[in-house]
Amino acid sequence: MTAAALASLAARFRTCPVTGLKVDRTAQRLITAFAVAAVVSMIAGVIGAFALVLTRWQAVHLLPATWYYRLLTVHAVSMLIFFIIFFEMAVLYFAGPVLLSSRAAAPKLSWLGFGLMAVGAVLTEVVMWSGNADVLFTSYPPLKANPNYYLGIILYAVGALLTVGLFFANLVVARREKTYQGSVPLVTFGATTAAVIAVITLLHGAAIYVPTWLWAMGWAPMPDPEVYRMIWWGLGHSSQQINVAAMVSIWYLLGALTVGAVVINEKISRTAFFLYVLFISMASAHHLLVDPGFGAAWKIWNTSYAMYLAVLATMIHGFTVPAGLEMGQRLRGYTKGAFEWLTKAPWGDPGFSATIFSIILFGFIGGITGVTFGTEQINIIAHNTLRVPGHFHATVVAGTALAFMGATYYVIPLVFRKQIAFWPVARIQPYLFAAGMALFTTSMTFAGTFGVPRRHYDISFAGAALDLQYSPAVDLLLAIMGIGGLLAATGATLYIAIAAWSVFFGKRLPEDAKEGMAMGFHGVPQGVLRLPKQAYGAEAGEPEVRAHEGVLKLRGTYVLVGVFLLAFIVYYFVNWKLLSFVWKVG
Amino acid sequence: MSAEPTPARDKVPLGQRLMDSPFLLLVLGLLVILVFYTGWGLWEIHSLGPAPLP
Amino acid sequence: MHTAIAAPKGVWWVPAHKGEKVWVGIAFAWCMVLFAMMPLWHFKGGQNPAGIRYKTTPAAYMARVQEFAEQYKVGDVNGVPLVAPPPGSDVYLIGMQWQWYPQLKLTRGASYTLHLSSFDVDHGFNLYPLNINFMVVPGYDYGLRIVPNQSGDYRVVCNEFCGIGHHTMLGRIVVVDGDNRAGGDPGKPTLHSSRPPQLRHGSDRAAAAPGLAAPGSGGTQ
Repeated sequence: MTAAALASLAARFRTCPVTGLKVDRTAQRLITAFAVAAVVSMIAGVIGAFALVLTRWQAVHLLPATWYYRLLTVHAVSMLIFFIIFFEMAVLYFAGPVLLSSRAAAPKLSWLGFGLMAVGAVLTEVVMWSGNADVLFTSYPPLKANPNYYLGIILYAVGALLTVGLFFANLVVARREKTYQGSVPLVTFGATTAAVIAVITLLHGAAIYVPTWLWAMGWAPMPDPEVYRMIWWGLGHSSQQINVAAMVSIWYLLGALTVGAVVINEKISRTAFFLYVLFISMASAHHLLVDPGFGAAWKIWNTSYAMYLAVLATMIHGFTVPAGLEMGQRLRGYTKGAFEWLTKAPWGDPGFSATIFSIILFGFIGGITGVTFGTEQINIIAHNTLRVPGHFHATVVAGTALAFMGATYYVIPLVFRKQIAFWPVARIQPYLFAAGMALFTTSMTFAGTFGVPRRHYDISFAGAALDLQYSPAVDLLLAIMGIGGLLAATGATLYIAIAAWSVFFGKRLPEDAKEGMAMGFHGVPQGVLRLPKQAYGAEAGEPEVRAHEGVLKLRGTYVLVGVFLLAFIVYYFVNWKLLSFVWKVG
Repeated sequence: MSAEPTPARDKVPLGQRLMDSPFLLLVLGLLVILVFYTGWGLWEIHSLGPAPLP
Repeated sequence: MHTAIAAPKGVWWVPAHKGEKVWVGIAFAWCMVLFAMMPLWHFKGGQNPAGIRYKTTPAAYMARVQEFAEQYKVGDVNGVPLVAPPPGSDVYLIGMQWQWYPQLKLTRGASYTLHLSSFDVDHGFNLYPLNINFMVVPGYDYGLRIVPNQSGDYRVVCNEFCGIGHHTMLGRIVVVDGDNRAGGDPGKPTLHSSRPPQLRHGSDRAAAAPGLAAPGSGGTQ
């Protein structure tokens, strides 16, 4: 490299005054683009959320039938694909070049990746809103949408695959250019896991959307409905596993930034991520447990993520993440009793509160319900009922999306160098969103146990040739679902407003750290200005020697995981009992 | 404490070296899913016989 | 100790602390319990999705359904036959946009092989109020041995989106004590007066080509 080229490369970097990381401005601009695209996609999703929740709240029944199914398609695609994958691409640029202090490789290709995704998303949205894809997110043939629907998603997926490929390239670049010593940080490793699962996801997506697009164009025969379902869910559920890996990585990230959470044991945490890499995508079979296409052996082996080893991985993170938080807090002096580390934690910091609620709601509601009715036989009493969206709103929304919201509150000051707007509102936003989602998911799950179907416009069956009256409890549950959903959608709207305003109109933060400290914590989460000691400096990066027995008295965490396991065991066996009451079948 | 020098390659445990290889992780991840889920799944569907409709 | 944003140097592949090992052991044991439950229930439990599974075509399946309905018909509910098959026999139900055909009358305690398939798009079989759920896929015959354990006038709800009439799609399974071939229709299912009952027999559609594509943009007819 010439001296001029070297100099111009150096000029691309700025040094973060908080963490000391060297940030490539190209990577920073890409993070900005992906994050903004994510939030814009969320707007479409949230409009859908308000309308849908006011329709399934049967007493309100806002939309007419066509718009219900239309906005259900919009809501799912905008949230589950566009919002969340755009955000994850931003995470890849953060966990890669930023955390490794390295350069983003091939800037032009990177922007091409973003461009393809943006064009694909816009095309798909236009087709959906104009009523040319009323087929729902799964678009199961023989239902057929306008070919541009599939084309838009294909473009998006190609752009995403390119971006994921560049993440791997960035890892190589960072290692070759020795911008860090030792192994990549755990957050980066978690992001790598997410990237591997993303490749699995996107390859299945290509394998199914291309033939389906060809059929929609009239150039190829219809894909077989069962083959379609199997390959589609290789995209559909695996994309949710990207979300799990990304969410857990964010838990580790925010733990570090908010309270200096430490890594108890790198080997254990990384092995857990490795189990995700190998086995978590097999659970796409969850959706096919009551399908005619597959035998019991295939169903049992795949739905179990290979003997539940991927569930083991989540239970490991379910220990190491709180343990890391507890340890980090104890190292800062909060050592009284079993829970002072938690009670004296920065609950006013939206990055922290979002993380805690994400962990609790994902674990207790999302994880337990999902593993339970992902059991081959228990699925018989759950498939296509409201139990399914009750579960996945707890995992993807109360889990991943909430964690991403928390991350945003740190990205705004650290990457965008802006103050967070509407700070008093920002501090309570995670509470509002979490409370709404808790009500929404639990009531939906209960309604599902009464048999209420998902993706269904009218459970009064007006216009049907027969009658059916659900238990009156269902009306109450759907009302609670409506209220919870409105609260949560409001929380999401506030998040969008706060994020957008901060990024575009927010006050700039001073570059000087001292000046920043002097302005206090209004508009800036406490971890930004007061990054815990163990997060930087001499203690960082020390090799993990055999941990001293006495140090790891993590009483709080032991209690929490014990309560979790108990809840899991009870819920699981109650469901077997429920199953045993129905007709003999099979 | 000062940072230790990077240990010689043969002193790094196999597990750590595996975790440090993103491309190996990618290959393993793809292999497992394509065999157990996709490949076996396609075989399951393919091996269904025609219905006798008794 | 370091945080998750620090690059760990040296060898970090080291044994875990005892508390962690204990938790991993407990979690692993629980995972083995989770895994064992499925094969256990497969062999010993009463409810499994393992059925008799075949490929078929909508036309062939529809023909068999009509043959079945003709053979064991005991009544009629506004054009939809009420069919009472003998215990132990193969029972045929078809889902189509937007009804279940025919209606069934079964004997409590008797065993039947209930076949499920679709004439057009994917449907979802949901038996109300028991909450038994199975997929109904065109081109596939899913035969499940069922033993009704309680009498009643059940409904079949469709819980897989199948187009604009999805939420009007209801079917019926009646279970009686004693001989299901005697006594006609024990219930008087209330009919919604807002629209005339569907008189869509299979006969006028059986001649249709086995191609299954729903026209146009799928779902908004």
